[in-house]
Amino acid sequence: MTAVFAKLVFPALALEVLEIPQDGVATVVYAGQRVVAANTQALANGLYPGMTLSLAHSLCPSVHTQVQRPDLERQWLHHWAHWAYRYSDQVAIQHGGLCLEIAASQRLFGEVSRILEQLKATHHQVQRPIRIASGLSPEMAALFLAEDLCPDPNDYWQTLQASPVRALPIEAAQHTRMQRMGLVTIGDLLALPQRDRLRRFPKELDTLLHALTGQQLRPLNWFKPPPVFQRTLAFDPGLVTQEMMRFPMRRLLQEACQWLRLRQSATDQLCWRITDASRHTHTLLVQLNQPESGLETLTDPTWLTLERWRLPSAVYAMCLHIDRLSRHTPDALDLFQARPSQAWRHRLMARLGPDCIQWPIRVQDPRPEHANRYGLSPSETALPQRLAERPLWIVHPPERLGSGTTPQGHQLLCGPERLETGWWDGQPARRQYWITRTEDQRHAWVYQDAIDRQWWLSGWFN
Amino acid sequence: MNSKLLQPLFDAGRLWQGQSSRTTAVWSSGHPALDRQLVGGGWPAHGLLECLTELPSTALFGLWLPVWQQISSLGQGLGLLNPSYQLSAEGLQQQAISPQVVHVVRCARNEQAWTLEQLVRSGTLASILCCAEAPYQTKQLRRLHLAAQDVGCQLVIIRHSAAGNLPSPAPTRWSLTRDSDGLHLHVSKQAGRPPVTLCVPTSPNRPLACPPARRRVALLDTKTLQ
Repeated sequence: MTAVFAKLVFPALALEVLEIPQDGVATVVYAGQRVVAANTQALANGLYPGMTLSLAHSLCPSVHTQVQRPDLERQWLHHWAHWAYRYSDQVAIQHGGLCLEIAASQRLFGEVSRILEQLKATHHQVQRPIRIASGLSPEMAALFLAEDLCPDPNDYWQTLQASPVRALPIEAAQHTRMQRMGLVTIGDLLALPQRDRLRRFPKELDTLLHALTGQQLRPLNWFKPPPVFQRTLAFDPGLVTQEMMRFPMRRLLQEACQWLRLRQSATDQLCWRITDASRHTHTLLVQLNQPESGLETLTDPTWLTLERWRLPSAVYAMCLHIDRLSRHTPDALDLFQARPSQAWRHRLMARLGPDCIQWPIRVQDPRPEHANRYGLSPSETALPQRLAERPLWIVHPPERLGSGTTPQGHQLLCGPERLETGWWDGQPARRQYWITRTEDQRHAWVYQDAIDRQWWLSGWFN
Repeated sequence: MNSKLLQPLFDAGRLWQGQSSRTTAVWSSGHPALDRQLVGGGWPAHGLLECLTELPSTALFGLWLPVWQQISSLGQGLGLLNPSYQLSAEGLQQQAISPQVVHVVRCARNEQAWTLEQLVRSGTLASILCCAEAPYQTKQLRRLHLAAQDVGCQLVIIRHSAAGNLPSPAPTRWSLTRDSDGLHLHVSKQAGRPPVTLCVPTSPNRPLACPPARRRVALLDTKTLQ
């Protein structure tokens, strides 16, 4: 399958990261005394990217200026690379935009033109300017984008050949030289024998042409989702109610779910770090019974944990941190089989504590109080072949019943069952167990300690 | 009357005509004499059941063992809320109840109603036994009953004998006492049958022995009950 690359550029990125409105007062973003981006109002006043800042001031004295923030732009592109990762696993952040290999995505998302439409649609919904072009190589897509072309995959070659040589990203002197030689289109340049091209132009041009035509792809630094999810939102003024906190928290959870999906992972712990007015950070841990990646299964326990949390005076920032990941394999179910939901366990754990649900388990130990425990997950161990009748309820620690010949208030019914064990761990047990009946007709399990002759209540049958 | 719209309610046994029979899902109590006195031949498998007693919750658990044995044998989940003592895995295994299906849940007293509703609505537990008393409000009980009926879960709660004077939305209520003969049940409320009293004897040397029981779906003819 021939690779197809899509190039995405966000023309208003420099404005967007600084939260400059398009239709507000005329504002330009500059870097090194040159205008980098201008909003709609500034463009209407005759300002355009590339002009000097002094010229912009002389044309529109009331223009607002802000310095470019490349660090913020990188963060945004990183965010959009996350988004693009749902369409392709080959995404690169490149020259202020994104580059995606989309030929392999056609089976999932349809043909190339359809994928490009889907890529555009997300940004058009929020009225974010975006420019997209595709080609057989990232360089070809970039050239089409510069020329404002968006040919069909069948027309890539013809469109490239018909494109002017001035569109090539090379030095102006080389452009002039090509014009003097009568080379108008890239097709003219490609028609030259390679030996002649190498004699007349620098070797870099030949390398560029190879990359442009897709004959020799240059390696790209592909984006990989980071191993830890961490995203922070800041608020000014602060959030003063839990209801106000829910909206940004849900937004962060949506991003986290998307991130988990991309990594085909699930998490069993969400760590919220919430900063109050005094810059003190509170940690809110949401523990799940098992790894999950669905939005609803993460939001529900989060709300329950939030309800039990005491809100500080105001919340000025919140950060969602996820670092406990496990491989998420969707259950193989047939058409009519519903997956048993675990949401109720998460809800209980979020509200009542992580160990609120337990299972009775048995471990291999002759001492009843050691053998019968609660575990955080179910497990079953086979019973010994000859085990006398055991009570359903263990009284632990045992209750003292006196030191007479029979336990106080108990009538001995069945026994004794002798137990002499525990020598290996410093808790030796030498006991004689009996089934007894109390005065109120309950059946109990008691033992007499062979060392101090004391009677102890160890369990109840009913 | 458009009977097609009502058919699901008929099928679920939640609506029936006075002159016809209805289907009630029950779990056998494990005691034939008691089964004969219970509507449908056993304890209702869905909805809220209320036990009025001053005995420890272990007594009710002993009475409920046959029901749990049947549910465990089907691999369905069981829930136990706030037990007074530690449940013994060995004891459960000896009574043919798999500890793996028994969920022991602990919560604060004021969280009990909420926790019960979560457990009922989970849809994974066939029977839930609440071992601790709590000051339930009538609307909480009605909510729990409707949830249990919707999901098809049996929810058994313990209330103090004094609550017997208060109205309750639970369709099945009984009081439980004990003497040297065994457990005495006074079933004061059940759908379509007058109050009944009987004794479930306990063997002096085999305190937990109870006859084998099987689940059944009873066809109850309401005409015969009048």
